[in-house]
Amino acid sequence: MRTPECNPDDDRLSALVDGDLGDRDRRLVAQHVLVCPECSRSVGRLIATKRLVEGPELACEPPVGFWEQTRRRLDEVDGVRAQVSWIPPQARRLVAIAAIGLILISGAVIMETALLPSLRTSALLVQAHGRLTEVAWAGMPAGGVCSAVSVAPAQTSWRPVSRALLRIDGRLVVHTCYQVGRCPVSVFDGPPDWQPLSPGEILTVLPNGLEIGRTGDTSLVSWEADGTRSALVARTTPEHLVELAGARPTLTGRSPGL
Amino acid sequence: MPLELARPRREAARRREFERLARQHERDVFSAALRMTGNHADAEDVAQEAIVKAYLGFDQFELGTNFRAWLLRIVTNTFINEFRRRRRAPEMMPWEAVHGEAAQQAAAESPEPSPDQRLLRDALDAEVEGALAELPEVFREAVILCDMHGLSYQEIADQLAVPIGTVRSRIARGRRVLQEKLRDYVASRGLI
Repeated sequence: MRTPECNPDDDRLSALVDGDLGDRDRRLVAQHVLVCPECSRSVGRLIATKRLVEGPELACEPPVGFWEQTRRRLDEVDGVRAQVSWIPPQARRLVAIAAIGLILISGAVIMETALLPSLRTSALLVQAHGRLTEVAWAGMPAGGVCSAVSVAPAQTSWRPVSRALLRIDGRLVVHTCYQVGRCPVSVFDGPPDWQPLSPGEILTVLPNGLEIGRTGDTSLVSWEADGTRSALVARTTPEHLVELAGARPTLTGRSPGL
Repeated sequence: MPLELARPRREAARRREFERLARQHERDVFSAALRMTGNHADAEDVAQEAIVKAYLGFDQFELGTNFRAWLLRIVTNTFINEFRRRRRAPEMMPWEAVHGEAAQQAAAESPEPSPDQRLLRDALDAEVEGALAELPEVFREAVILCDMHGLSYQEIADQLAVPIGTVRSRIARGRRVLQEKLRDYVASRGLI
């Protein structure tokens, strides 16, 4: 254990080992090390560590032909330089900036594709729906939860509130939010090979092909019709959502075959 | 003189100047690479790669300053950043080559280290190399430039563009971390 009288800190002991202390400092630190067993041990440890990193003294003449080979590589560098030297420096700078931009964009795309699958598709849909219903509109129940759904199976009862284009699982999906009575309902329309619900999340599949799932207080139903895979999301029970799905006007004007 | 004629001349002069300086320190570069890699073939690769890199960045070198220190820093970074990652897989030797009768006899007659001694020695060196690799970069660079390449604190400070007190502190802290990591190794070799 160092005593409070130990003047030299680690930095100065280390510098002593390297012979990189000024004359006065070196004298003072060396005198102390001679009488202080702890600092003396520290110096011993520092020297041992230094020796390890120094490594052994090795024969160090470069092999015959080393320089000739190196010159050939420098010639290659010059060759490449000569090939691009006709391009004005400004243009080269522009190309470099464009290349950096391309790398950054590629990085962003890679990040996006790498990160998105970490969240399940159904969770993304619920998240998108939740984000929209955070913005309350007149008549919407508190928290966007449909405590009771009474659906008139007429298209006129579906009032579009917003529409957005999303990229989910690398596919373009149209997100439309409707107000159905007092209930906010999200409809996602994507390509037919898109899977809004993974097999493990499907609670049941109805005979008409409607896949039903549930996440927390939110239900999801999904089906395919007319070359479009759709998903309906609302904070209600699966039974209510099936009822909503039956009344839902599709973009092509055809309801989901209920 | 037209610009397109002046450029090749300038390039040629630049190349000559670089070669003149690099040849003066060729031996230092190779020694440094050999210390880090531990064998001639790899040292040649690292040294050559570092010289090519130095040539590519020669425009950034300020003529009249310490070329040797600048070059040794490039050697260090070449080893740390690139070479260490693609270093060859550990040397594998057939059992017979190590423990066979002929190998035992050769070991008894020759003062050279036997294949198993050589493997053991390399493994031990790898331990130090591994500990160095785990150091934060700022400490590692300062420790290697000081201990392996023998640069003074002032030379390191100039290269890293930091005050000399910072160099001193980085080396001391780097050594402290190394001591911790290599404590068992140092004890097992009886170095303290």
